[in-house]
Amino acid sequence: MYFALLKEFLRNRAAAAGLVILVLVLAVAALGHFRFPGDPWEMAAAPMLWPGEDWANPLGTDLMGRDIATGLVSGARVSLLIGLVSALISAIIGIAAGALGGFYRGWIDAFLMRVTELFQTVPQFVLAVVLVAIFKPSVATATFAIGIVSWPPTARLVRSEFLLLREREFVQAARSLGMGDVRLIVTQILPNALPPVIVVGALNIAHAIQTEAALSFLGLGDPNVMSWGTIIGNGREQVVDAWYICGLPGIAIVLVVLAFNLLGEGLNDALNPRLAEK
Amino acid sequence: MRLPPRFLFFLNAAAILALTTASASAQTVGTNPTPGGVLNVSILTEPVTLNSGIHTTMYIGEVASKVQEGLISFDADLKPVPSLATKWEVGPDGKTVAFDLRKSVKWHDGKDFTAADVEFTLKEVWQKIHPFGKAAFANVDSVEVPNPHRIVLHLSAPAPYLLNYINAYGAPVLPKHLYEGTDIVNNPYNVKPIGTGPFIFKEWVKGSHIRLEKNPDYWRKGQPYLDGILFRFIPDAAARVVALQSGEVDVSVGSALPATSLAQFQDESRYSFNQIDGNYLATIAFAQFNLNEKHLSDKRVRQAIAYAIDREALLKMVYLGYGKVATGPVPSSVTKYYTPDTRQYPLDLKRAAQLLDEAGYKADAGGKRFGLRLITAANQTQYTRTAEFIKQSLARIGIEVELQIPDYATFLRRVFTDWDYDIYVSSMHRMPDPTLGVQRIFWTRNIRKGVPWTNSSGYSNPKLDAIMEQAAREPDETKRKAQIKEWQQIVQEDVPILELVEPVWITVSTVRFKKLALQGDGLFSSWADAWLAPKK
Repeated sequence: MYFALLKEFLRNRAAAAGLVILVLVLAVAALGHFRFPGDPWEMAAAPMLWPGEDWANPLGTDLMGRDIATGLVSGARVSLLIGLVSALISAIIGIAAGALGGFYRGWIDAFLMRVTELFQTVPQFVLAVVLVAIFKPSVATATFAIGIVSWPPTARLVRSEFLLLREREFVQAARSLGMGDVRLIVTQILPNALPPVIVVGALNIAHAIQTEAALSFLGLGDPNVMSWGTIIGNGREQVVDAWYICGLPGIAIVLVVLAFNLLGEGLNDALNPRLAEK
Repeated sequence: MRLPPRFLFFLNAAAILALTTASASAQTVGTNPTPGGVLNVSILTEPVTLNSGIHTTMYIGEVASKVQEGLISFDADLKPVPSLATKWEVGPDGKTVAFDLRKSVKWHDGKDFTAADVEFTLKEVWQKIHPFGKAAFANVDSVEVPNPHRIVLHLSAPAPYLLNYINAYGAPVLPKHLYEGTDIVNNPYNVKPIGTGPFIFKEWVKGSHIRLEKNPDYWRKGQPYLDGILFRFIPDAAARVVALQSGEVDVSVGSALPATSLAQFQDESRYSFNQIDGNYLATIAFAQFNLNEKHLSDKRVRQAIAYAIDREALLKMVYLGYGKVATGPVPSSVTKYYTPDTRQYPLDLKRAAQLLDEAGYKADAGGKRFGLRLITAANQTQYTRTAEFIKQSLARIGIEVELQIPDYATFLRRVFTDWDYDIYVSSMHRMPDPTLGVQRIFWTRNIRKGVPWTNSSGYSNPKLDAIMEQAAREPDETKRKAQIKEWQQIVQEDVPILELVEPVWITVSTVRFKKLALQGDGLFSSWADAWLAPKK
């Protein structure tokens, strides 16, 4: 079954491209420091060297002589870490809220959906800024803040799936066999509700990476960690004289976000039976 | 930090750049003024009020000084020159100061300006409300007004610094008839000032601009040359750069352009640089230690940190050479009292490591000794970059620095109210006289939790306190110089504050912007003598 899925997935060229980009970025994050070792904050050379100007710093240096290639490698790790963990946080909260609401309905549902609406009515990014500003800006608080603001769509999605699935025959059958609520939710309904959640999860990762970059750009990133947003924020004043300082991490963000989007769409096509039948 | 030879070349280039631009300050001076035209000006941040008498933020002074005037002004060498006062004399015992006031000067609403206005502002504003006026005029016991154009101050003790504080920024004169009997801090004229200056306040559109118009009845006959001034508030640094390039703005004052963009304004046929406008403020950027922190309470640790920071490289890297390395608490521009003859801390990592060893903080197997928190506010990039520079420097002697960069209000609260920091980075204006500008950060009696820009290091040295208090009332100039020299030597030995860089405030303008003379307090110049030369 998984093999068939993979085949279906790879038939989609865009999705395959997304996967390739992603594998490359993962490789850079995992292995990049062998090629570009050292502290990304180290002021290693003359400031504002252009890419290719000196091969000791192939991608150039920023305003304070920090090597951009080293910064990009560090940024890849930070971005992927924050993207994955915050998407996981949002998935866990979203699934829990959506599953409970959709399964039990009634006042639990009403209460959980009011909470969801509360989060949905406040602009996500503004809420993330407020959360990070209240706590100390750090990788942990940024991850937490992004996770906290991005779960409502997942909750909505899971809830609607649960509302549909809980009436289906296989669920009724399992219930009549005497299965408890927890087992029903976890072993019967959830696996069938997961495919769209996985798609949303991939998109959430992309969104989380963008949000982290935006936070760092505004100076709300972890001042001790070099992320792509940090490099862009630092180089912003210089966008006229040295566009590459903003441009290179910008390209990295575009690529990764694109990769996760393509992946998400590919998964959607592969997992959605209605589309597969076409 | 490994520095390749290329880098050394870069440093030289930056030094040459700084030198050539310093000489280009004179480019602003012109002859044969052309009247007419409106000057478009950009400043770093929109002011919160327009009365320098109650609030000393420099952005307020940059605008208000065109409307409000002081008794005197300063020339390029910071010597006092007449403004509202035509003449002044200090009595032989230093205990009286008399001013002759200019006659037939009118407020913008048509009322006459007299000594009563000066007396009122001195007693009700400078002595009671003004942040450093309180200290500057503390010795003024009584005021005598023999006639409407003369005022005599009687002092309880000599106050040799007093004449340094009565320009449009340090002590602007307010109209008595509009302020008497009102709540001065909340007086509506604070945001629509009535002054005696060359420009009349017209409108303030919040978030956009302030418009000033020519005062046709100005007491300097024939001036001002300009028809008006438009102060434009452009929040984004890159946009301010483009505005000057496109001609939308004629002058960018008070380092409104980031140092990293100044390379784009090197063409002397198109732009003028002025680096002396802020000499009066005599600003020093510094890192202050919290002496209540366990490690930092030890003088040897503070000295080790001083030895570990290469301030030459900091100046080149963060300030791109626009400034000087600071050698002590009194800036070099305060030539009367400045001395370089104090303990200096050139980059010396071995010495630093040795001092830390002596203090009992040996390096562990990984080379680490201990950690410190370094806080600075997020609003000014040169300080966040300085903080990053210090973090890298201290890593090399095994001190692991955690950067904390909150918003400005949180920064002020944590440093001056909660004292919740280990090291903080910022800058302070030291002003022309050490008694008022420098004493406040070392004086035991100025350890005042909750008041910004006071002694928040917790440093207390009774011997230094005595010297500073003596210098504040010493009438003999030679003795006072000696006292202030000893003061500089003591604090450079104890380093409660590590003085880093004397940055310059840079004004960049189109070459069409001209003035008859440069001023050391040019940020607060009235611009009566400024004009826009016709386009070629």
